[in-house]
Amino acid sequence: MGIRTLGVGLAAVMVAAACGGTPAASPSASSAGSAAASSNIPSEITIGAVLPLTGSFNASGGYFKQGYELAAKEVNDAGGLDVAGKKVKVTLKILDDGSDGTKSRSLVEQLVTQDKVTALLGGYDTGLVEAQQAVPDQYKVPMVEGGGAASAIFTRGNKYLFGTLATIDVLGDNTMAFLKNWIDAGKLPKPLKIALAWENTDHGKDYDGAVKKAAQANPAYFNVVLDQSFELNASDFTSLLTQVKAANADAFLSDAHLPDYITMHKQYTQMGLSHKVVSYGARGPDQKGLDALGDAANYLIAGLWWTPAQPDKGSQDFTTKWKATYNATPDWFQALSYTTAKVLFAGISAAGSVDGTKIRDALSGLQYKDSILPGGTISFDATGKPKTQYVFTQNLPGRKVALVWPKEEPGYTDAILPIPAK
Amino acid sequence: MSVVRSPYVAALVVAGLVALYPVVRPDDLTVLGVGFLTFIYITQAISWGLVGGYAGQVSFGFAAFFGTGAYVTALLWTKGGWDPIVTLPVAGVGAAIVALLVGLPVFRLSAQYFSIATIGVGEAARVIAINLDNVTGGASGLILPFDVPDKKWFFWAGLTLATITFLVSAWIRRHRFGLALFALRMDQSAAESLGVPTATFKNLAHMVAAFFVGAAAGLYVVYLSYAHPDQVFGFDLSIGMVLMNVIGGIGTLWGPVLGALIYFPVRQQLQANPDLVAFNVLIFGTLLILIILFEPGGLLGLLSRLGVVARGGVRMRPTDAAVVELESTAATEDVE
Amino acid sequence: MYSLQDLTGLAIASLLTGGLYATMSYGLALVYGVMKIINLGHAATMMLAAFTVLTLNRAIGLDPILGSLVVLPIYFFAGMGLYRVAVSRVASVPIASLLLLFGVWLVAQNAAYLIWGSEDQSILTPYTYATVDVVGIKVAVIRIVPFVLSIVMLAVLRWFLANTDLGRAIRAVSQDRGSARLAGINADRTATIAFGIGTMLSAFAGGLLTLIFSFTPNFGGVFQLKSFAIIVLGGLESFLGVALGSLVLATIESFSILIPGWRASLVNLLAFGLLVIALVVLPGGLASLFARRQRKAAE
Repeated sequence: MGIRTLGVGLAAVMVAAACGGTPAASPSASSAGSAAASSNIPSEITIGAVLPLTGSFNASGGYFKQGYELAAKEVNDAGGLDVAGKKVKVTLKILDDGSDGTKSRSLVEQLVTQDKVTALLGGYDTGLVEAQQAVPDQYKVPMVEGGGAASAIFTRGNKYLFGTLATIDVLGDNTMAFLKNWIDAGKLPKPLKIALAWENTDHGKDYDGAVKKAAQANPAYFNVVLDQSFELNASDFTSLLTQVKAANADAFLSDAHLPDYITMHKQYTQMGLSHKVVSYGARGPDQKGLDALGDAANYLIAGLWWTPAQPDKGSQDFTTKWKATYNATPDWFQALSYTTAKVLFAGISAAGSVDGTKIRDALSGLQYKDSILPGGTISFDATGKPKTQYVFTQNLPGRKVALVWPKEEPGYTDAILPIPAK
Repeated sequence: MSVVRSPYVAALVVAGLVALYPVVRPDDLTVLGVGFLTFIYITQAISWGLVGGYAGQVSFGFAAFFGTGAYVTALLWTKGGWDPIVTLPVAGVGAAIVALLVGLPVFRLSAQYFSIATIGVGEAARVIAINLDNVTGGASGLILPFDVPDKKWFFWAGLTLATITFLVSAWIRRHRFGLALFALRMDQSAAESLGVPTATFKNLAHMVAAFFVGAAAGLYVVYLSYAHPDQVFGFDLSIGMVLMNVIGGIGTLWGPVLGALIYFPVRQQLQANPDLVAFNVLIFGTLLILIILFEPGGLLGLLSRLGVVARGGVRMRPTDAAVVELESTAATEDVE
Repeated sequence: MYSLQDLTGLAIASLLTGGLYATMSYGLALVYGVMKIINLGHAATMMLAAFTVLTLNRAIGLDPILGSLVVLPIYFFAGMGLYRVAVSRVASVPIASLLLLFGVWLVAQNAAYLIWGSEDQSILTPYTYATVDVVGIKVAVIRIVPFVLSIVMLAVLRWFLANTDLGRAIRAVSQDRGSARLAGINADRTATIAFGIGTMLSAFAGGLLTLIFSFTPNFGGVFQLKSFAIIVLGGLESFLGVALGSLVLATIESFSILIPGWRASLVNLLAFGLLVIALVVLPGGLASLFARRQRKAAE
């Protein structure tokens, strides 16, 4: 017994040593992360990212990986990134967290401590970004993320974290501004009775909060008659939709992820519900949704971070480039990840240094002008939150997508409101 | 001789050697971080083994205790202004109370129903936590401070917790309490007829296990500076504890330790390898199936069969395993 | 706030959802009845069947209802194979079989990721939006289909158990394996076939679910837990009990919105809570309530 226990103990130590042994074997030559002075620019830098390449978010994680890689390839094809007059090659090191927060956090740390990355790109989905977000500040390695949209991310006092994804509270604000415009135009009743449903996540709470706030600020315009949350990936919305029906609202606003949007709107249509305006937050023109819902998706309003329907040259060039590289039509995931990497590169160039703190300082004052996201320029407020807006679309019959907000956006057309009765 | 044979001494020697690592390589933050998390998993696995292994009550609901402990620490730290380390015993007690509340009704069920009921309990705890916005932060989680002790501190704290848990587990095995748990696993009614208060013992084991899981959870959220219901109450945690035990060797002393060493660090290495990453759940699922079918003693049983670990030739069947363990425990008792 | 029409709508929804739950739960109940095994592979079977039906739909445009029928032989034999190769080896140790089938679930999920990816899938049919008027309330055809089938399945299963040799053998093994063997019944063969039928029933449910829900390789976990609650509520072995249990759960879920301050995001709590309560308070299931009353009446 005793010998056996000891034997196991030794085996355990051996396993621990085997696992612990790897980092010792890996190169730890330069301490590029923090020590390099601006006079000492390496010819190559490593940028790290931890993405959900497996597990429940693997599809979106895959899009992000492609976007990061395309941006890096472009920089390297042009000879490298310009840092204080020197051309620096960019190497990406992308690890997989299996959609698990603990692993995500642990792997981001590994990138910093073991691979000595110069800077970090963020993960995907609010929850995983939140798990990662302590690392940049603890090690003073800047991170730019385009995958976490809840405003809570930017309330934790980070100095080394920057987001490119306009937060969901802004989506709520923009939606209400859009509705107010059409109330003033006489197309929607005043006050507008709103039935509000939101998924019980950070995402949904942001949306709910912003809509209710706007309604309280404009009681003459809006009246929220139903405010109800639902479980993420709920299978059945019959009872929720019965409440929506009983509320007799003019507008149905729901913040949902793709599977819930599809299931909920299917059931909505089957129950014969109709409203003067319907929006599922950021869902609407998604190819998957159009495939799954068919004509039922017509006239839905969606607020997005980017859409291939944007006619500006940058967006169209990006779409062409993406199709040539990956043989697929890009969606906002791809545009965001690509832009996120570009913003980080611009920050490193502007810093003229590979020092984490200097890159951070450069990012915080950055005005990135080449953005394909709505508004054209990306900059950050003091919390690292982006000052960007949404672009709104409306699905039209025949799988057409119209750009319906904001008015100053190129390609703007008037939305068709109220939704025509079937 | 008997000193060397004691699992207490073995554990302390191993722990002492491992504790030297931060002294030798204080800057190896990767290993310190992975090491800390591994100690958390070891603590979880050993604790689960007290109920799932020794007493044979396979629970899929331990995340409820982890989540409770995590939030007790998070709340006392942020709202109460406590020093995080002081919150850990309270986190453990909180989890133990939940364990008692769950155990009182659920342990009345037979082993298989117990398993199913615990899935319900675990998921119910998660749903409740995510809807208690005022307490848990709901779906937003709780914001915790970033300024926490350095990696060495966490490494040592985690190691200490894992070692204490191990010592308690080793003590229970050799004590009448442990023997009673083994007895009720083999034949509950026989144990009852011999006067073993099975319900009390099960609840006691459950509470001790929950205590350590809760304390580990407290340490974990301090490290992560982030608490979210979906993560600290996640079903994945409960599954992990089952897997670590089955893989290492269910019902054994060192099995959970071995299982945890394979479950977390090895998996982390798999995930850093682009060729293997898509297969990691497949690998663990297959391992689980193979172990159940061919080697119910887990890897520890396999090692002992191969003679890597001494006492070769012991063939462990699910029920034999308990007998073997009982015999060996008794034998050790004789030696001393 | 709620009109009579709304309440009628809820009642109809309860009935239809109850039917859906029943189709999901028969397979689990059959396997439990014969083998006393809790089949954690149930969700895996439903998920794989949903993807098989999807693949057939994409490849040759096969209707999902027909698809659900077409795949049945595959899953019948797959179920028998799984039982023969793996489950039967550990069938005598309930916890081992539970863990084994849990491993099967993990493997199936990961395999499905590798084959189909993790994106949401759904099937659009010409009748997806078709509705029928029932007492002035629009009811979706795709929700009526599983309901009707749940009643058909109930009738067929009851007939099968009462009137065929195999059915009687299954019943005998369910009640007492030892005496069934003494009576000359090959208990192993019966169990293998029963596991095949149970798997087939799960697959049928999985195929039908594609009519209503979108799905990923993670699909089925919540439904599986609901099915556990239902079969426990139904007394574990009686198909009629399963149907009743389904109706009870569906009714509680639908009408929960009438509770003041209720959050729809709490809805799954009802199933989990019911599962624990049913296990602890009502170990014999709903059927035992009636039995108890009969006993009292007799006294």
